Amino acid sequence: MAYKQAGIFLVLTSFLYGCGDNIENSFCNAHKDVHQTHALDVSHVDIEYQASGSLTTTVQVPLTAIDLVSLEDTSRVLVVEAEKTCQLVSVNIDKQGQYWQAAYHIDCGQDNRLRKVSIALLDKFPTINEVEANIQTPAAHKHFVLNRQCDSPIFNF
Amino acid sequence: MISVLHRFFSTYTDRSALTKLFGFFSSGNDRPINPDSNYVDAQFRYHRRNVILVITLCYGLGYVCRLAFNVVKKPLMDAGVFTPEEVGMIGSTLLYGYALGKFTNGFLADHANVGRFFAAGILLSAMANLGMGFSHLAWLSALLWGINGWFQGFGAPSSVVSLASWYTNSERGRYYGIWSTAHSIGEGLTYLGIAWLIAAAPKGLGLSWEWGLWAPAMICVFAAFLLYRYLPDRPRTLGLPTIANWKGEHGQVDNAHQDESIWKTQLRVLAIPSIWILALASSSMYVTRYAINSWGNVYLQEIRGFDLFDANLFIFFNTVAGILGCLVYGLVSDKFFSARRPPANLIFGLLEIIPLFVIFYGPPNTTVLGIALVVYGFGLSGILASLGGLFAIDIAPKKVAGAAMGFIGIFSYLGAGMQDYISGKLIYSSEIIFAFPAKEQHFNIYFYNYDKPILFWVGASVLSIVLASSLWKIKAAD
Repeated sequence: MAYKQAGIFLVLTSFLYGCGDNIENSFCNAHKDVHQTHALDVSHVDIEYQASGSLTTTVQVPLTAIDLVSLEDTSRVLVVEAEKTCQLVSVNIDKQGQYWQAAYHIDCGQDNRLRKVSIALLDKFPTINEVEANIQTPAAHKHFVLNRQCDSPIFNF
Repeated sequence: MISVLHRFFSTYTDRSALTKLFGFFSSGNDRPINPDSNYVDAQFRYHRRNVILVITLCYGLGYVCRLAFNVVKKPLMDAGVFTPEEVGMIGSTLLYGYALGKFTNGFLADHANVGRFFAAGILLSAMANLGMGFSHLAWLSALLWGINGWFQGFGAPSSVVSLASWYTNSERGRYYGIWSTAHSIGEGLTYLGIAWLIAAAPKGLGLSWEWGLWAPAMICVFAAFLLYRYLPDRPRTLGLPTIANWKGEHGQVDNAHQDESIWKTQLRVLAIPSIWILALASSSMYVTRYAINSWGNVYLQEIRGFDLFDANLFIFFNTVAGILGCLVYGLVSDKFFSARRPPANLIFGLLEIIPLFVIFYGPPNTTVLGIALVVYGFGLSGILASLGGLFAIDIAPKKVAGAAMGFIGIFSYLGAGMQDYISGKLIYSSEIIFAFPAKEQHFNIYFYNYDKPILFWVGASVLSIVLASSLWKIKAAD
């Protein structure tokens, strides 16, 4: 009887373990630990959204991944959706070593509700495989990595 | 009620399937009392030990099937299966179902074989959890979770009927206290055990969100088996005397209303203003209780940056402190205030509200947050034990204590249900999506602002304490 109960427990336990999607996530789980070793080589996106409605997006991408004209076209890099229209205030693009650094400053206004910000780096530029992002809003801060091979963002790396 | 339905269907439908069903759940007929006193003593000792163990353990295990959805809320939102508004709406249906279930099943449990009745409720709750793991449709999940709420409402009345059948008036409070810890046991199991299953490695197994519902279903099937096997029917159906006769201990009856029907006394309870104030106070405190239970771990992940496992670990500590809070509240109010609840309510109310301010507006320090959550859990459990039941029983005539508790319960869970929906709506209204579309998949990172919900949660606690304190001079009824 005891053997039978232990057997049922083992079957249920192995069932629980076996049904996790661990295989496809092994790269992504491992990447948490190794990301820092190549963090300088990947594209970076820093976004700061303030309560005043100011939205600053700074993009840093390798020179080989993207051309200047593409970066100058704001709509190819980011699209902002809000209750009311947001104004593009300035775009500053610099060449810094092996990178382009582009800063997009958009003003949505204080009484405007920001709904969605789409960053099209992975969509429009196939040579970019990974993006490290840092996003700050008045309520929260999130730091994560997006890799084409992973189904979900990688946090806590 | 079940017996009446059983007789009705026996008469008019000639042993139909429905008759057999009601017969199965009905409490058995009284049997002649066994003359062997040694046998009777042994049977009472055996069943009394089983009853307290089984109702505490199984109510705790069953609780996992009530709270599991809270743990998977964030993964569900992250996976884009449901929006926070949908999650809030689904969560609230359980509370409405539970409010109704606690009331209706209270009437049914009085007439039922509680072992079978409780087991059926938990088994059906397990099935609802199983179904939830397969559902990606908000309306279907809301329906399943609402039905689950009703099934969950089988547990408390069955446990109370068991406590009334197997323990005397003088010892019931002590056993009631032990049984009450089941809530905290269930919460701890959920926020640590179930969170461990779905938290990312290395802190958890990293299973998908569905397992956060399927594993509780398995636990509840096990609990249903234990209840069916070990929770007995009333002593008289087993050939034993009533507990009062066995112990030779009989309660005092209120002479002033001895001849009044229970129905009339129940109606009279609804006309007592302090019961209404208490119902509103309890309802407001349930807003905070369920807000922290439902959204606390989401808040800790979203705003304070903890991972799923750590966030649920914090809630677990808060829950463990709740076990102590329940026991200490009774001791403090009985020993230091001569069973007067209002002074103890104020003390425990302050122990609840001050840490709440520290949690949401205090320094961003993990140790401070941990301590605040523990003190909050301690204070909340104490004041809830009073507002959600004990104080109502004090105020109401004792013979309709059940009706008073049912009335408070309906208000409490309506408050809790409204909280989930309102919180979800307030949180969703602040949503900002940062989208990173790609050829392979779309990454959506969601940001929410909790300022408005926090005001709502803290405000509800303040209102509750003010209302409870307004009953300072209320005396207990006979």
